[in-house]
Formats: sequence, structure tokens, C-alpha cells
Amino acid sequence: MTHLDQEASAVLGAARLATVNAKWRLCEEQALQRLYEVRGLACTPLFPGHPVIQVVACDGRLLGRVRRHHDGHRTRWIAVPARTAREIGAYRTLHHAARVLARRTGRGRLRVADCPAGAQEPPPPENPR
Amino acid sequence: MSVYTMRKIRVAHGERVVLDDVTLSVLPGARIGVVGPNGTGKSTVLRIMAGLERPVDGEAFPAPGVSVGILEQEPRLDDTGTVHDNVEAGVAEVRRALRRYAEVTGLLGAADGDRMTHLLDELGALQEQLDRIGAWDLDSRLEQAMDALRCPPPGTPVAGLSGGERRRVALCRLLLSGPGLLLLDEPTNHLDTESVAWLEQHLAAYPGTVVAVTHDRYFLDDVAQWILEIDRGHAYPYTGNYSAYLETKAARLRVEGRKDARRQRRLSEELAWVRSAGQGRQARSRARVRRYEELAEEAARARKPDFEEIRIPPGPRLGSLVLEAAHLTKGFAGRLLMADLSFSLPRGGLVGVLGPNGVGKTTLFRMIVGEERPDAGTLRLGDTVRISYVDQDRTGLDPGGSVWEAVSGGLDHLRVGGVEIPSRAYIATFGFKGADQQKPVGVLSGGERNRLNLALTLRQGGNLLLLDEPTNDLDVETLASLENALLDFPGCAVITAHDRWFLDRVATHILAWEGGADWYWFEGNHADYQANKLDRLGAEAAHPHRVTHRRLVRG
Repeated sequence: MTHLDQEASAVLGAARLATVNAKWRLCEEQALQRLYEVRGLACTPLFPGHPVIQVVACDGRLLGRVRRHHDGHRTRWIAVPARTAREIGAYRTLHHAARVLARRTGRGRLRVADCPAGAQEPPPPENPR
Repeated sequence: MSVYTMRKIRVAHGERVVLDDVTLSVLPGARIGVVGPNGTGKSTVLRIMAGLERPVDGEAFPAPGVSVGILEQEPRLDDTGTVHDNVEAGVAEVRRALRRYAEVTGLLGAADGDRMTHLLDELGALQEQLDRIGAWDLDSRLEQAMDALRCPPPGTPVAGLSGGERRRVALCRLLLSGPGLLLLDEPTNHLDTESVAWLEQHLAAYPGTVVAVTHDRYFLDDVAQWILEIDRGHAYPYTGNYSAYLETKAARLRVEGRKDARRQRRLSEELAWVRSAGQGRQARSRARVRRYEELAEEAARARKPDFEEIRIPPGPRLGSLVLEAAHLTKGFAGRLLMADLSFSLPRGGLVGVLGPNGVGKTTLFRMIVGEERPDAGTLRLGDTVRISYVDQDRTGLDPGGSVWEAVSGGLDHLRVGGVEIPSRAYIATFGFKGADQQKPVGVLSGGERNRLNLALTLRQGGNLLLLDEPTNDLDVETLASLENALLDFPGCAVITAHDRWFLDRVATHILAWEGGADWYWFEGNHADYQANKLDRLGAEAAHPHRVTHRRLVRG
């Protein structure tokens, strides 16, 4: 491979990453729009049709994300507060993890409402060809 | 919960107890400056925290999951690679995560069911990791850090780098790797003032914990929230920055009724300068030049020997002409270093020369001593001028001879400025105490060679000192001692330095490289110069960039 090919390849790689990352942010915004008018504590899949990552909000305000992790022995829901990208704990259920996120803002006693995404929503990010 | 804990640790090097019964707890996000005389164990504390040295007693451990990174005085690099290879090694984990992120998103396209669930879980974890470490703008951060720290060009083989260049590459690599506990041993050595300012801002905003051994007092003042003083094997924490430390320590010495009058005097003088602000400091530096005759009289009267503080012998009285440059132009190795530079150094003037390596500071010194000639313009020295200068590269010292022999020539007493003093006492004021004086010159570290050079230069007894980075590797007490000695010195000095506190306290003029072959002569100290530069050139000029020079055109 020539030096120019390598450079072009690196630029394309960076562009693909930037596109996937942008799609992630878009999905997050769309999830938040779905939760905007929901009162109380609510969660919805980041990628519609795929419940493994959930966006959590309270009264329409983003609290963070919860991700389902299975290590071969057990399943846990990992809570990540908004704007930190740092895990704060692993919990047995999605609702428990969502309440932990709410507790950090002083509102931990709410019931969690599940808001599944509509069928027309876009699929999860994939590598653009 | 602490990021790092030490409990009753004891460290001995042979018979010498370095640290005794030290207990520390480092809180997350803390900014700690470590100070103390040379050889008291400051670097040892860092090495223990990095796991590179073990205490003989007690326990020392990081919190679980905390990553630790250290910049040592003589850092280790991969000598088989280039600058780029070594800096990239600091972000290898991030690159791996980015590659895996790309792989996972590619696999998602063809996955379904459980496989898709696992991949989405992994993608989520990678997204969190990459968001947390700011991986999305990695390339621009890498470029910015290498530029700001003035690293050599990326393709340069590491094997041929100077000590200072190696430290800059190692520092760049370490900062980019972003450990949770960042340990820095004299990080500002070999950095110019602009790179130091950039580093200061970077560390103030650093997301982890920072512990730095440093003599840079502005760093200690602007970044540190705690000062940890290591003295005679014990550790004393002080809340606050360097100025707060000076106040607290002065009060402690008074309360303890310590009879260390010189130490108290040195502390008081430094505190008085700290408490004076802006115009008060300007007034002091201008007064020095106006009071030359008074200064010379005082120095002639005060001939009592002082064995604990640095003293600079006064030298012969200066006439009205000291050092004058008129339209000075000089090139070197095909590059134009200075063009049309004019300045006049008055009696009593202490000029700080600013600029990164390779811009012509050493060439300027060589022109002043007559070893190089300008290509155009003139450089005049007054008839009364006697220069004190030692070129580090040409000392002619016997590498097998000891430090003591190099300075004393084998004599038990030296005549320094008309005063007889014991040679060992004179050398001890430069940080060579006890057995250190028997060290062979050939095995000295960079910092020790600097101190030896300072000792050799100051005993020459001239009235125009040329000092090349004298502040490197001096502890804060010796720095303060050197500053006081320069302030009492009734002669002139041309000093290349990057220590901003030193330059603010001592300099009456600044000669600063401002890019290409442009130099600027300014009357005032470093802080005044920086304010003036901002007014003239705008904020962008304050950001450090790699050094570039015009090629000389021969027609």
C-alpha cells in the first residue's frame, strides 16, 4: 500500500467513526424526545427494538443511560449518569438502576415508566459502506 | 476514599534513612506540590507511589482500579522507535478501543438476536469508555500537545534526542495516556515559559489527581492545593498554595523559636515579594538599576563570609557602558537566528533571556564572550566589564576528577571576591553536601552538572554574569538563595531561564524570542513582558508552537 493509500485509508476510517458516533448522538436525542412529555421517571431503548441500552429521564430531563451486561454467569444493568460516561454501579434490574440515577438528583422514590420506541424508528448504528 | 495511601513507611538507601514513619493519604482530584531540599527523598516518594521502589517498612498502595503514571527525571523511552512511535504508545489503549468500536459497528450490520444484544452491550461499553477519555478528538489533542510541548518532529529517531527533548516526548506521552494518578518529577525542566504556562493550564484542568515534585513556584501557586514538604525524612503537609505555605512556614519557624536567622530572613524576603503586587514589584526592579552606586557600596562593605547561602562576589565597578547591541544580525547552520536586534544593558541590569532551545540563546552568549562574531551590526562591551561564564560543553574538566577537585582545584580554601572561604562550604551552598562532593564529574546527572556549572561561574568574580538555565534542578530554598544573591549583586547578569517566579523576582529587563529571527527587548520583569506581549501580539501569540526559522538565502 502506498503512503497516499495509507493516508486515505486513515481519513476514511476516521470519517466512518465520526459518522457512527454522530448516529449514536442522534439516537440519544430522539430517545429523549420520546421521553420529553412523560411525567416522572421513564426509560426508553436507545436503539428502537433493542432493549439492551436504555435512556433514562425524569420529567423529560436526561439522567443517563443503563446498559444490560451479561458476563456468561449473570445479567446486570449498568448505570451511567449523563455527561460523565463513568459507570456508577451494576444492578439486578433496569428499574433499580434507573432509580439509582434518579437518587443522584434527590428523586429516588419514583416508579419507573417504560416507553418502548415506535416501529418507524431507525435501527442501531452500523458501519456505513 | 483515597486515591493513594501510605502508612508509616520507612525507606533507607544503605545506611541513610531517606523517609521515616511517613503516613499520607492522597484525595481524588488533589493537586499536590512536593518541595524540599535536594536529596531529601522527594523523588523517592514518587517512585514508591509508582511502584518502582518498595519501602523497607510500612505499607503503600493505590486505590483499586486507579491507574498510575510517572514522569521520572531520566525517563525511559523506546530507543528503537521515533518520536511519533513513543507518543503513540501513550494512546495505544485508546487506539485499540477505537479499532474495536469500528469492528463492532461493522459486525452489527450482519448480526441479529443474541449476537446483536452482545454486540450492542459491547458498543455501549466502548462508547462510554471513548466518551470518558475524550477519544473522538484524539488526533487533534495529540497534535496540540506535541506542538505546545515543542516535541521534535514526529519522524525523528528517539536514539539521537537530547536529554531535554527526551523529557518533552516522555511528558507528552504521559499526559496523553491520562492516568488516574499523575506523578511528575520536575515537569517544567527543559520547558520554556510558554510551554510551562500551557502545562499549568493542562494540569489545572486534569481530570485525575496530580502529585508533582517541582521548584516552579508559580506552578505551586497557581495549580497546587496542597504543599507537601519533605524534610529530614519526614513529610509535612500544608493546605493551600506556595504563598500560603510560605506564610504558614514562617509562622511555624517563629513559634518554634528557631534560631535559623538566615532561613527566616530568606523566607521573609520572599514573602515580602509575594505580598507586593504589580506596581510594587515594578518599582523594586526599576529601583535596582537607579541604585547601582548604592548597591556597589553595600557590597564592598559586606565582606563577612556566609557559608549557608549563595553569595556572589561583587566584581570590579562597572562604567557607564556595559553591553550594547546595535542592529545585530546572526545566522547559524544555514538559519537566520536574529535580525536587526538592538539593546543596551544598563549598570545593575539583570536581563532574562526567553526562548525555546535552538533559537540562538547560546549563540548570543558566544557572541558576548567573543567566540562568535555577528554577521552584521555590532555588539560592544564596556572596558570595565569582566565576564563570568562557563560554557557547559567546553569546561575542560577531568571526568574522573571529583566535584570538589573541579571547583577548588584541590585547595581547602578559596578566595571568592576577596574573601577566603572553606572550599567545601562554598560547594555545599550549591547542593553538593558531604559525599556528593566526591562524585566524579563524569557521572553527574544533568541537574548536578548545572549546579557545578553555577558554582564554577559564580566564583570567577566578574561583574557581568552569563548564566545558562541556572534554575534547573535547584530546590526552592536554593532558588530563593540564588535570587537573593542576585538581588544583592551590584553587577549585571544575562540569564537564560524559564522559571517565571525567578524571572519576575530578579529580572529588570527581558530579551525574548518572538518567532523566526525576531527578538524583543523589554524593560521590566517577566509578568510585565507577558502583559505587554498580549497587548502587542494578541492571545494567540501566547500559545507555544514548534520552532521554525527562515532559511538563510545566499545570493
